Amino acid sequence: MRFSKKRFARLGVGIAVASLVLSACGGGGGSSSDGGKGGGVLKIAMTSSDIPFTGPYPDNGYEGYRFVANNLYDGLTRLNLDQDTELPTPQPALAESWTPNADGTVWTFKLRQDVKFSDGTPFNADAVIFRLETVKGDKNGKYYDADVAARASSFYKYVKESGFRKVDDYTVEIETTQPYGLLNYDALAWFIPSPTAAKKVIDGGGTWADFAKAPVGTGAFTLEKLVSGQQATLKRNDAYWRGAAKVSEIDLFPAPEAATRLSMLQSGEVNWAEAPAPDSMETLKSQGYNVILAKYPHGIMPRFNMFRAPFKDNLKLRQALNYALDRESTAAIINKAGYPASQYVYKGHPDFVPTNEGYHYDKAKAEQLLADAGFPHGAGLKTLVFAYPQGGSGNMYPPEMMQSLQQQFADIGVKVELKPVEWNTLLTMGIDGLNADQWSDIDILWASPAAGMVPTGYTSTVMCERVPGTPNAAGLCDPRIDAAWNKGLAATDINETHKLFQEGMNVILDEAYFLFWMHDLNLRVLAPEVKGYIPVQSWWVDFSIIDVES
Amino acid sequence: MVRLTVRRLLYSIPILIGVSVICFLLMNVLPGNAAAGLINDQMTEKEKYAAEQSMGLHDPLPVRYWSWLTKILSGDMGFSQQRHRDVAELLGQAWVNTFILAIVSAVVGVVAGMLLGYYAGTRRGRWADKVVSIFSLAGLSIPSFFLGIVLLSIFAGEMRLFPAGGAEFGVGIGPAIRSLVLPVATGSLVTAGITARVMRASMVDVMAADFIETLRAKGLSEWEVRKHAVRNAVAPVLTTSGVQLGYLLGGAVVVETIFRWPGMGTLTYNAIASRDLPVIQGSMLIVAFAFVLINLIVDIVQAAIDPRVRGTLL
Repeated sequence: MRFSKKRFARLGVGIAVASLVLSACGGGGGSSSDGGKGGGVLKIAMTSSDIPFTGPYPDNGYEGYRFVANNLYDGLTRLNLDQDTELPTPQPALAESWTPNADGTVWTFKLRQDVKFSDGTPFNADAVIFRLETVKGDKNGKYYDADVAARASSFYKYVKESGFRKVDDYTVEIETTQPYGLLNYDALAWFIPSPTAAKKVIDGGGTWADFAKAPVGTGAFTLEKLVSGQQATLKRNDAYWRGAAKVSEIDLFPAPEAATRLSMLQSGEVNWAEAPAPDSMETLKSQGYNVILAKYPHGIMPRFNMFRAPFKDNLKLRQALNYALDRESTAAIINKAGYPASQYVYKGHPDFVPTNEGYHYDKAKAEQLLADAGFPHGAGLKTLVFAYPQGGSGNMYPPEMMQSLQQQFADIGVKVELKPVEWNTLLTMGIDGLNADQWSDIDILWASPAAGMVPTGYTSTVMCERVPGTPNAAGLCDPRIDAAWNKGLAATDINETHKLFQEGMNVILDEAYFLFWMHDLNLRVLAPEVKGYIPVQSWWVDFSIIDVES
Repeated sequence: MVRLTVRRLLYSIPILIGVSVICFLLMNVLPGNAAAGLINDQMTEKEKYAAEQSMGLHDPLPVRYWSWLTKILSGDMGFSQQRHRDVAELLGQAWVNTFILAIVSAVVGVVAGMLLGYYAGTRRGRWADKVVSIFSLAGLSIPSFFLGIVLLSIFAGEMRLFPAGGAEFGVGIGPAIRSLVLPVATGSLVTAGITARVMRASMVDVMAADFIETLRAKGLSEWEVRKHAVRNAVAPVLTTSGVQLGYLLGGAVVVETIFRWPGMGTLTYNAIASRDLPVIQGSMLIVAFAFVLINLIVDIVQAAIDPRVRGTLL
């Protein structure tokens, strides 16, 4: 049997015909229903391996906020994600205004009066009090949400337990545990569920996890369909209080493999792909896709295990490793989808320290510091165990970056054992801490913080007190940082806060508490029909202003 | 046959109990606190103790095993704190997806492998034999992640003939079959390769056996001779097919990840990576039970086809 060109051609045509026939047998699952009010369907390939939790606090990192929580629910405040000129700040959302008292210990939120949950029940002060009760109220209460109380604790940290009250139907007062000027930032993530719907589920013997199967919020979308590990469909809420979204539907597909996201985009299955392989950028541009690279507050800033040696009490070792990182080379490996970090935040960010040059590649200096640290050419230094994820929300390209780092450290005599873990495992490490038995072998922990997206985001990372459910896993504790941060948190003038945070950042840099490695450029590829996207300086996106042309 | 079936079923019971004990013990001897997800630094020692107590962690191991087993038997496989879902629900969805993918991959792989092995075994030393040998070796050698990405790139990304992943069930037979084509092509290659090699070797042995000459001497046509040969050659293929099916039912992590197939492989892998103990226990149990069941079926089928093996089975 000879396989001539003709036979190959016939084979190809045969496969194509068979495929078309099979397509014709379908039930029209790929059609773009528009709900009768126009608007296309936004189809998104996410990096997470599952659909983020649809309850009133997401998992899977900021992908969970971006694609699920912010679409199904609203907080009392929201970021102004319709501009890309400055770092977004809290704007009125379910609360139309807020006022702290003089020392920031009591905040009064005035609520909107024209908002309804997607089940038709009204949003009011009772709904806010219900949410706060479920997280900061009686731990033995029927509606207590232990999961959110643990995982979202950093957002509720400064809310005094049972220190909140309804003033009238549309006003609530919230006491804080200390003078605190950033409660409006925390309120971004106080996702308010419908008390009526939640009580109905729980009174019927269900749990908050059951509520998440058919969640009811005030968001721009409602959950239409959820197939675990495969797809979620969010339908437009036509009665959304800010005006109905432009797209009729958002389909979310978890696709942790970069090659899969690329194929999904090229095959037309999705029109929005998060972080496809960076080496595909040129091809995609030539195919007419919008390849978006933009500065935003996100970096890869791995953390040293400060609970024990070799990093505890060894500043020179921490500095040596920072100078050993050839960041330009690593950036080249990922096709410039990121750029070298000299500090925790990028130049131009309000917390950037202009008087501190930070870190850059200097092999000679790294070797000298390593010798000064007591490990000339790495002699006597244990093999460093470095835990990192394979992918997941905002993690850039860990395997490629880690292999590059391993080589660069080897160049000065430092051996690294790569320990790949699943993304949620890394988040679990953040909850347990590196002093927990099961993670105590880890010397360096990958961290992909939303570095400076909101000023509240640092606290659990840099302050001594470790809040459960937050990324402070590494035992960092420096009274000078705490002092600066506490003053910054207490300031009710945001400019004063940033000034004080700069002081803390200066200590963090001098003490090399992190591996200041790479700032992300947020590679994201959109099909040409996706319109209205703004490369905002945030991890979050306002999907209500995005459209998909037919 | 009935006695054999009953005997094999009875022998399966202690195996299944052993499997459940191993599953339970493995999860309970791992370092780390199984209640870590419920405990935080702000808790008092009393609260931490209560959290551990609520999970029965202070009970003796046999009591915990019995409690765990009775819950499993009543369908309660626990709750995954990481996934915020009931384990039985998670495993149920994943199992259906993996079962479909595994069965189709196994059928395609075994049938293709048998045909190729038969073809090569009856043409020993000829070019067809060599081509099949190369194919089967390639099937065993090509890493499935590589093949998967290549198929995905060509047939989904470039040609747009098949979807780039996902299990499209519930929207018609066409999308379901289209969603199966690429993962099955990737996942069945190893099975086809192994089956082809085993079938070929078996056919070569059988075709050289004395009874083949006897059949020919009796005047049977070559077609009838080969029918007898195949029946004798198929026993080792059945054994390897059972193992292959068991492997596929365990969920092929690479294939499932590349093709976004929400099955047992990715679920178990993620559960292991995140120390999601209830999911790990549940999936181990299900896969182990599937292995035992498949071996049971394979043994019974083998005995039905080949009376000689009946006496050799327990």
